[in-house]
Amino acid sequence: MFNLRSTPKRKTQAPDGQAVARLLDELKVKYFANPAGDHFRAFFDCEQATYEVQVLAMPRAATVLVTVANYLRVSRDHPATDDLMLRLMEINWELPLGYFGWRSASERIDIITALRTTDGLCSDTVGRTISWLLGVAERYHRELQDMVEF
Amino acid sequence: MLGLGRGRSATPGPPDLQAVCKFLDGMDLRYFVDGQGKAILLSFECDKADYDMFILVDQQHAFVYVSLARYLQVPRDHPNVQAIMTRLMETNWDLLLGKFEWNPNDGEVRVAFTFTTENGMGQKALGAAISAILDVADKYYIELHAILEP
Repeated sequence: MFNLRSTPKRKTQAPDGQAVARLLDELKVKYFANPAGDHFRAFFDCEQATYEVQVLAMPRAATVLVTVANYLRVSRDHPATDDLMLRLMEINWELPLGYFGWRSASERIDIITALRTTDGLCSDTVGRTISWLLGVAERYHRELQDMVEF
Repeated sequence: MLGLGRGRSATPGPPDLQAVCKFLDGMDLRYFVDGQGKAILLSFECDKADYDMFILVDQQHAFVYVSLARYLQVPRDHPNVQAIMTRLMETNWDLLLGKFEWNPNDGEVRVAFTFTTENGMGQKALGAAISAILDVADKYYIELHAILEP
């Protein structure tokens, strides 16, 4: 997907958008940035699907949010919603890093990780986090799709 | 709630259990280390309830897991299990730090946060995470317990 081994270690303090952009550049990730330069979108072709990864720099909160965005969509009145929510909460227990969250207003389910940046952030961490979240997305893709497409 | 004081600088790499204990000492928190030396146990008296927290330190895999144990007890056959899991998934979306997770085998719901510690971890970051998790627990305590009442 991208070469983590050649990534130089680089520390920053509570990175802003520019610093996050540099980290993504080091990882050779192709991304789209919003005009404010603090919100990044990248697309990854994996075996089962193409996933949208979003990275949001929040320097005032000393946080960088990394998400697999729009992973699933399910409405509140969908017949599988109740079972899906139970299963996702169960998966959240199994995951050492990252979790599923649901925005009922937009019916959107993301896989989310908040990286605390009080002690800096390096491209290794960002790269491993993206790889981990994509691995989670792939692992549960078929099972969860089947639940909402029955 | 916590005497964070002046934040110590981050450890140069993933901290071990002793380093995390030193941070807790720096915050004047009382704690116990379990018999196997793998987890740190703490108790907190908050506005809405008392909470038991445990901290797992995995230096090898570079993460620290902070969790409130037995925040809720929701067996799979609870009459409101679907309502509570749906609400917890919505809450997960809103959280900037922490997640709700559920073990269907024994019904335990935890509030948890995982640090990635490749970049080290400082006392200030740990204290902020502990405070944030306790704030989340207290913020949603009444609402979530009300959902569980018959």
